[in-house]
Amino acid sequence: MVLERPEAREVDAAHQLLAHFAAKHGLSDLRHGDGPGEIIVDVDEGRTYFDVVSFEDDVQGSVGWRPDVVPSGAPDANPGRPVGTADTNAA
Amino acid sequence: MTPQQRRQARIELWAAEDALARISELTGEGRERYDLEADRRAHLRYLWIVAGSRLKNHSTVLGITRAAGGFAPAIALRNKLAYTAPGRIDDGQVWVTSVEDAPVLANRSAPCARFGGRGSSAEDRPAPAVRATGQRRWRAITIRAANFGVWPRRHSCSPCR
Repeated sequence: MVLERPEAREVDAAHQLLAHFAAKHGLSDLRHGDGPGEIIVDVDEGRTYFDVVSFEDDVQGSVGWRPDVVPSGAPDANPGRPVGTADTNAA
Repeated sequence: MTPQQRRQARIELWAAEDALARISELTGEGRERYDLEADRRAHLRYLWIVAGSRLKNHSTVLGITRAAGGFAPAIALRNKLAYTAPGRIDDGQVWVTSVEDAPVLANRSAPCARFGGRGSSAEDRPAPAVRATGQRRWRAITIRAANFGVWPRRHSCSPCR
């Protein structure tokens, strides 16, 4: 299975939609991760991986690409700048 | 749908239920061991992959959408666990998912056993690989009830309509 992953600018452009779906599924503090389309999130108390994948499904259904969501508790999660903020490292 | 398809779909569902039951057994043994033993954490991930794969096959054989069967999150979780690097999986969240969602999912899949149609029965089911625990026995009872048509319909799985 090969998935199209979005570029960081596509993720930033959709930040309002992402925030809407994130709130629906109990996810917060969306940040860019290391990989393409990777978003690091905090998972609220009482929410589960089913919420994480449902968030991915909702986003894919709306914008056509699927983010790779990683809970911030994962050992290799490396949260970067918040989603929707300017990338100061961009050329 | 042919009888062979029904039987195949039923076998897929039973395999998923076995995996979900094993997940419940593992969580019943406590969080402490889960946190201490890497093998146990890996095993729980594996069981979710098995459950999701079998539910995916079940939906495919029946020709229903994953959402219609109510199995979409389990199948998506299967994909995530199977394709994501281990270091990017939060085992704490896998535990919470196992405790919160596995029993609900097992309950949701039970009425689907009815789709076996005429002549089907729980006796068709392959013998479990391990001795039945109380939980497994209870699940067998609920499946039997579903096959005899006394189990309430809880979702929109097309064969259950």
